Amino acid sequence: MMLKAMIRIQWKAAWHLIVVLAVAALALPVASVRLGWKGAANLPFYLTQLQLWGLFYPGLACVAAIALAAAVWASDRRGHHIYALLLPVPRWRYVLLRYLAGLVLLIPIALALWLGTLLATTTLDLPPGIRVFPHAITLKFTLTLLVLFGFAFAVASASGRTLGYALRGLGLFLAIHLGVLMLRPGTNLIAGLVGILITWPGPLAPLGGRWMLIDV
Amino acid sequence: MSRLRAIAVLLLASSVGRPVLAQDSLVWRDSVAKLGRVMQALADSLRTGDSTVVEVSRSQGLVLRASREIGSPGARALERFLESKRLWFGPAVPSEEGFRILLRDYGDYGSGAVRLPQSLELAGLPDSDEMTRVFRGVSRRVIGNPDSASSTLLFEFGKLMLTSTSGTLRKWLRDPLPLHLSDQDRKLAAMYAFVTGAGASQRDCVAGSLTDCAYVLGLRPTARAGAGGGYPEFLRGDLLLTALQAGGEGAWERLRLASVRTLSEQLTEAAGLPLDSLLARWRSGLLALRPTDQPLTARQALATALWGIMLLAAALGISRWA
Repeated sequence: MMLKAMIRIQWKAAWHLIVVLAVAALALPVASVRLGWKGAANLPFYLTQLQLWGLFYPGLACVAAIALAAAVWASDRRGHHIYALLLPVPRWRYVLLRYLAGLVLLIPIALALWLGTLLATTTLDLPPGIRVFPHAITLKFTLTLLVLFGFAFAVASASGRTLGYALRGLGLFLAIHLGVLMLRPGTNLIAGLVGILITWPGPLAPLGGRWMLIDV
Repeated sequence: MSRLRAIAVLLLASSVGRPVLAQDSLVWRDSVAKLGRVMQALADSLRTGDSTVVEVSRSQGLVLRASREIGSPGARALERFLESKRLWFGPAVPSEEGFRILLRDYGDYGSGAVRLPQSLELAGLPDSDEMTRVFRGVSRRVIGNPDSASSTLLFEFGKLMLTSTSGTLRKWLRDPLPLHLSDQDRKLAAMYAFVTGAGASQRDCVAGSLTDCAYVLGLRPTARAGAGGGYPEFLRGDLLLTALQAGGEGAWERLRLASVRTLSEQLTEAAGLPLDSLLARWRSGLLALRPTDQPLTARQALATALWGIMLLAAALGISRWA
């Protein structure tokens, strides 16, 4: 019951954003497949183009996750969380409800992408040997969206004090990185950290890999 | 008299001599600098002689000599070379009289400390004067790395080996065998070229028509109208390597012995398979390399879900608003 109310509140606050993101998710696969297609004669060039278009999928997931997480917490941040603190529910339950409502709002975007991939691939007359991956790319997009939303949600829900600690920690890490770089020029802590985050089983691993809707 | 002689010389020179072309000073400078480097390298070579190049390893009738500085990677390069050589050529060698492949980097004569050129030399016994010699200039990065050095040696060895095959085969291949690439890199490049071919016969070959495969690989003619062109020569090299791999250690020897026969028969002999079976194996091998249907495995999906839960837990923990 409370979840339903939360979803309704968040939908009211962010429906413009969700519609725009869903349209973008619907248009991305269609545009990527249709714009460069000139028949089977230029397949290698076409696949290279599609590979570049593939960069927009994680990009869109990133934008959608950050925008929605920010929208989910916007009213609370504006009111300094007073509304949440006045409610007769424990804080953890309130955060969980916000999170679940946010997840529900991600569904239209994922569905729009799925529909877009199906539309883009079913109407195309592809030569034998070339395969399409509408379901796989939608699953990858949804998982990427899930993880990125988790990150953005955690940051957006954090108290000012926690964010201050996080920023200080980040500053300290950068200072250590610079110190290590000066002492041992071959050691790059930032590159190492990014490597850990984006390779399996790192949390941002779904961002990497192939984002090909059509491939060999 | 002397004035008369001077006028005569001037007249003679102006009438007989051709006008001297203007020289670009930059070209002169580059030319002198290049000559200087070559002379320096020659002087170093004469000064050091063979004393800096020592025998590093000897195995299966092959000797590897290398500059002292790159002795250890050289020995590893020979091990890798022998492994690959056994796979493609078995015990065969380019010539019974021996051979020698010399890789040499250019040294460094820049403004910093002078670094003499390094050499890596693979010789097939007997080490006679009749031997076939190959010289190749390479970069320092190549000569000092066991993987790249062994693949360069293998590429040059493959070129030498091709000289003992039939003219028909060499004409068909056009390019040396692509042995400078790792097996995986070569296969992936071949797979993309194979699957993205645009001609009608190329498409039908991908779809499974072995007759079309034989045509697009230049093995059989076709009477089909609008068949389109063939595959790049690179794929022919890949097909030959597939035949050698299928045929095992004696494949190269059988290929060489069949040099008087037709191209298809040579490949059949090498592979120990009928041509259509070889083509089918090559085709299915390439198609098997296509990306999998699942960009995410179940384990990866589970890991992502776990990260989602952990991030939620983090959000629950850090949202302590005051």
